[in-house]
Amino acid sequence: MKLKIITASVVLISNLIFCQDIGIDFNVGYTKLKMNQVNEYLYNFDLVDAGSQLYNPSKYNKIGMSLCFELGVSARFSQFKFGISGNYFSSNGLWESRDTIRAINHNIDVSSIEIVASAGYSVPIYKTAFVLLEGGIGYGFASSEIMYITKSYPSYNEVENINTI
Amino acid sequence: MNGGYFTARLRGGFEAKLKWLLLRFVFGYRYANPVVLKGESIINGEKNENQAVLDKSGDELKFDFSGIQYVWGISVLL
Repeated sequence: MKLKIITASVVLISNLIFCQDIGIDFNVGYTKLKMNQVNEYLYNFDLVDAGSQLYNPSKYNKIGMSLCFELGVSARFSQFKFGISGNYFSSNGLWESRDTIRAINHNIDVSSIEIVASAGYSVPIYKTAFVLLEGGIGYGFASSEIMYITKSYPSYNEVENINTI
Repeated sequence: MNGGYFTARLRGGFEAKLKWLLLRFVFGYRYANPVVLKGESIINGEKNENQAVLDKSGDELKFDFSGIQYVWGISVLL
């Protein structure tokens, strides 16, 4: 057991000393955000409690999806990888709730920037193919704007007021 | 409205090496510490500074940006 630990330590230290590659990393993807906060926000409005119809549920769900862009630099030591990256997330959603006296159009924008330090390990499964496992921690800053426009019945076109949070 | 939060992630996936280029697909979970976003608001014509979004009971609403993440990427090896 001790021999294994010593061997693993020697391998790790030698990997750290002999950096093989420096990589410029660019990632793009999407992430699914939890919907809880949007539901709770909607419950501020009596429309939801009154069992009013929530229109365009597909667009309503869209708020949960966020595009993400990641740009970073990493140092690769054999199978180990250490890096730092900047991340940008952007999400936008539109939805409408309506009852017999008014309609409320909601528009929410959420953007966030994160700086993340990460570490990873690659397991070779073929000559040029690897299984990658990685984890990271960091700090983020989010910016959000919610705008809701109340429109009156019956046309739902006459704007009563515009609110921004 | 804005606010800062701590974040962590755990991801796994596949990488393929083509000479000086790495192609990657990973997916995992991104945790973000729930945060109260505060800022300027205009409600019924009334302007407020440092206002948070409130839930039905009047408590400040925490926004949770955690979620499953899918990522495609490339790395250029120098």
